Amino acid sequence: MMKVKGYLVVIVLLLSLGLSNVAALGASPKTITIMAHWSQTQQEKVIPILQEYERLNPDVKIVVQGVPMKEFLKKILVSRLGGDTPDIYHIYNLWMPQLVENGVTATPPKNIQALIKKSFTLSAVQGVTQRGIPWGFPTEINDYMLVYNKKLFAEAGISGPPKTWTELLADAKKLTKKDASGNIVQAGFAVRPGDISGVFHPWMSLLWSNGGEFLSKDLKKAAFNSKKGLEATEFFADLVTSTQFSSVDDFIAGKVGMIIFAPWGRLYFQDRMGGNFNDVATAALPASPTGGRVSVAYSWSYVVDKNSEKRPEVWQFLEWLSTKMAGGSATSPMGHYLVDILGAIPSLEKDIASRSDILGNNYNKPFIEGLKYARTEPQLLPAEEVRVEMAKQLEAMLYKQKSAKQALADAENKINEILADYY
Amino acid sequence: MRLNLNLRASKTLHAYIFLTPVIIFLVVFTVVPLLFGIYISFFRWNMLVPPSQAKFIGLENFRYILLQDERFIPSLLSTFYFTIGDVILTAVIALLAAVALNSNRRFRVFLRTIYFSPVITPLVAVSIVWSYIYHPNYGLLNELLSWVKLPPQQWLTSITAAMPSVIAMSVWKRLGYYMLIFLAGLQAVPQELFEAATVDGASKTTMFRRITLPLIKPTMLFVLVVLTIEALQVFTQIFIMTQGGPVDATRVTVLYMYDTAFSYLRMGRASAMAFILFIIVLIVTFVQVRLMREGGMNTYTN
Repeated sequence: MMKVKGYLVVIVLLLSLGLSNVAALGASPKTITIMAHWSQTQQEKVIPILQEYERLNPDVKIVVQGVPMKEFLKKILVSRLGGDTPDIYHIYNLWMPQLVENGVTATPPKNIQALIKKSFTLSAVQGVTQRGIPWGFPTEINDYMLVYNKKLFAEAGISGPPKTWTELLADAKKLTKKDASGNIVQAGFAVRPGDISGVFHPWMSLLWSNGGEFLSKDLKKAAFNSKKGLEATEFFADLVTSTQFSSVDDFIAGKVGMIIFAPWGRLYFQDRMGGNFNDVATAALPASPTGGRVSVAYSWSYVVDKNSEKRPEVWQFLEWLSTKMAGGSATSPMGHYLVDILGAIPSLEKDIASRSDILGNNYNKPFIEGLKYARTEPQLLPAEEVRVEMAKQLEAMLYKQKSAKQALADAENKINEILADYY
Repeated sequence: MRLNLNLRASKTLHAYIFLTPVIIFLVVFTVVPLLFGIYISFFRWNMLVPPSQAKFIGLENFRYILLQDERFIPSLLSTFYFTIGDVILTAVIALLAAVALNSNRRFRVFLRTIYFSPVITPLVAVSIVWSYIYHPNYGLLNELLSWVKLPPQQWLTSITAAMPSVIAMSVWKRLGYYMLIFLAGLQAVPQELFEAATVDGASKTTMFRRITLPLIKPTMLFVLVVLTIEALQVFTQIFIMTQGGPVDATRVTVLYMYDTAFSYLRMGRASAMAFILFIIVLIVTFVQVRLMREGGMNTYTN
């Protein structure tokens, strides 16, 4: 009898231990993981925002997984293959078609879809929309403007930023200086060689400004190999090759007069240039001979992984992060992060209005106004492949490996071949 | 007899028990991925869906790569360019350094440490540092050139100079490791042979050509085979220093394969490229072994 009692005591003890563990499990916070391309410093600065949400929601813990931009898409693939996916991805919207097409992203609840449609700028909503559904909360939106060095302009006797392509080319030549051996020591204009967006986006802005099209409306054919396209491409070649290939590093070092850059350059340049940042100014893109002025726009968003088991909590968190004006602030937590920490332009209408102190300053003003005439880059299933192909052909042209005409013809053939594989 | 058999069986069993962890590791991380890679090369698969949803397309990936792809063959040529430069320079300089060290007993340890230090430095870190060294405006190399009144070079941003620049860094990085292997080979050569040759009046060049080189042939075979296999699979330094550019001047096959898989989401096509590269590595290694299998002490004494 004693033996049976002894067994019973052990069983009761084990059961109570087990139950207490279950209770403890139930009490442990649900962890929401965000995968983002932010740097270590940027991640550290987002922590107080996330801690605020954790304070308001003690049953939730937020973890950030930082992944370099170049590795981001690979990390999504690998995490899904490994079955260990984060709950939220902060994605470049160019990847949206592939992710939606392959069932990676969770469909937002109806009320969230309605909230996104009514609260964010039109171009940002377009950036996250596929098959009529906005798949995530838009975050930053970028367009391209002329960023120039006022000091170098003054030294070259140029009174202000160029307003037309003709002035742009003339100013770039005036700003270019060579040493006794003919080596360029100061370039008038620079692109980012080797960087896909750094070549592709400025060229696309020129193409669209000149009235050209990149693809046909049904996305099945390349459309850039046209008279307008050739004019824009030849101009791009003249602009870059006449002043040699210099880089954004050279702009930071005060050795480049002009670049075409995105708004996040504000904090990027400020951090790297120190006091010399006062010499940097921005202006609208110079108008093409047809009078056109179009900037390329690209954007980012938060999407939720379909495999996430905490979707209700995740959407609730994203709604708070992207749209709630916490603690009596007129800006959303994400809006604050984008403007003050990343130096980017938010896409929530209320954030743009509430942060006019920074978004309306001389540096940002052209970018904000530029959004009115900006066009979102085409979102395609093989978007990355098409962009790389175009940038490679343009790079070959800028390195004088082929003429503008040949580069466009080669890019057209290759891109048509890629598109035919998908559409 | 029975006891002997039992003993042998027991020894074999023990050997397999000790080998099991390595065999499991090899099967899980080498054999299975290799077979899966070959399998997936017959499919169109973007990795966003499970492999079971991949579409079978037969030999289409191989047809495209070999007959239609304008970048694959140039990427192979770039790989061969890198391989020839890297293997020849590394092997020759490592051998010369080893011979020099072998005859200089005084500073051998110190110099061996100096030469070996790049080998233990991570390749990623080295590649980043060398990118700065090669920077056309602020790099150390152009600064040094300016001291001797030579014009600055574009290094990694020049179509013609980019690949030689990467090769130079790769040679510097691996030189110490192969120098040590050559040094071990040289130290195994019996001194009596040199003494006899000296008595016969042979010059140092003749001794190097007729004694040293034939006797270290197995070492040389090992160095050449390993160097070639490594060079044909070059990736890290090019990924970090040039990303395949400028234009496509340094786009080697593994980098192209990586972009095809992870940027263009064409894992089947990338696997087919990997399979073709695997065959090429196999053929090159086979030829090297066939050409150099003679030599060494055994051949010499025979």
